[in-house]
Amino acid sequence: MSAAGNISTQSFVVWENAFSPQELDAIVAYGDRLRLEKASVIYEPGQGGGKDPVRITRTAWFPRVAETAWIYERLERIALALNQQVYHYDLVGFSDPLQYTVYQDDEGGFFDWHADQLEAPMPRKLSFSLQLSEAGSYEGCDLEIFGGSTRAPVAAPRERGIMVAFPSYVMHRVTPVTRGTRKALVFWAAGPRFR
Amino acid sequence: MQHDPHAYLTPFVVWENAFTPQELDAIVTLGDRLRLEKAVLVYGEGGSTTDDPSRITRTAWMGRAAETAWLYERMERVIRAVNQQVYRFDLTGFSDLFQYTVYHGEEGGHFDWHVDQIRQPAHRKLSASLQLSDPGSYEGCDLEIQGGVKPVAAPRTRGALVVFPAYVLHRVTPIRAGTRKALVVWAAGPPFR
Repeated sequence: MSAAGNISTQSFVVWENAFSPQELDAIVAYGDRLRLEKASVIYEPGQGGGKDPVRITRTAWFPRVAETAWIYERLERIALALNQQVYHYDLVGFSDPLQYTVYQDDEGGFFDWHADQLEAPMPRKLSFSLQLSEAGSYEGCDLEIFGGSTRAPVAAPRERGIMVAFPSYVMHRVTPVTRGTRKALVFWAAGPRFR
Repeated sequence: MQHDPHAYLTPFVVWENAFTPQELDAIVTLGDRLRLEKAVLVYGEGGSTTDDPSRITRTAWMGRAAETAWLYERMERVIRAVNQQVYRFDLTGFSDLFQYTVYHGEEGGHFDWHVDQIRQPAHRKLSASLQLSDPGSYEGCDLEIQGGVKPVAAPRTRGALVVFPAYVLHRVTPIRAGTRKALVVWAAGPPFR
């Protein structure tokens, strides 16, 4: 893990080499077989969502089945280790199935500033994003994170296989993809409300 | 204030009438007697400080003394009540002395987007800002809080105490005329878990 330094000043931590290139290929192959739907974003009325789209993404959910068990197990192990080393949150498991996310240049894929906390008995507390595309295969589409004691948003690393984690209350966005396609696997760890 | 199990996800909570107009006058009098300094930002790994253009504010620290004991006690009571009803964070007290903050029109006072969640000297978990100036006495200088997709401006009402988790992004937009005064306090506790 390259979560070097004082994490109190960082808005996210990075985990490298969670999967081999072959395993990343397998994740993409599985995701590409699923039916991708246009992602909708749930915001309370009056929160300013209005008519402006805040998100253009294709997503699909990875069910936990025999074929995906190894992905779930690996991610669970990493999420736990990272939480033990850095965040020390009370967690009970993933909040949702793993979300396979595709940003396409032909539809101008992006996701505006938001936080991932949702109303739930066991709310999302940690957010994770695994980079599945080669950094050079697309332009734009940076995951930008604004938290910690940085004065401005910071772009997450783009290298394929990098996993980024941050508290779910942290504001983040994905800038518009201007060329190519970016794929990512996104998931959240949940637990009792922060205290 | 009604208890709402999901209120902790709203951008901020407002508590009105925590202080009478006379008490607000007394806070301003106490603050104006202090030596106001140009605020300096501390950030980065080494806690480096710079003359950062992202913040132009005059501040002074208002310590707990015989003269301010009533103010500390009241603030403690209100923050505790807000926390019990909405956030239910583990809190141990205030992270710092109270910060008296003045934005001057002639200096173009403002404070860009930031979060308050620093861990020194204590882990800040709740931020609170008490409006000390009449809304008509200044232009601009809105406290904006980024709770959802779009920032939301906090009420300008004199005496309104605006409370939000210290990890929430917020800013103070540039002041165009007049002077805005506020008292800013932070409640601290063990790290979130």
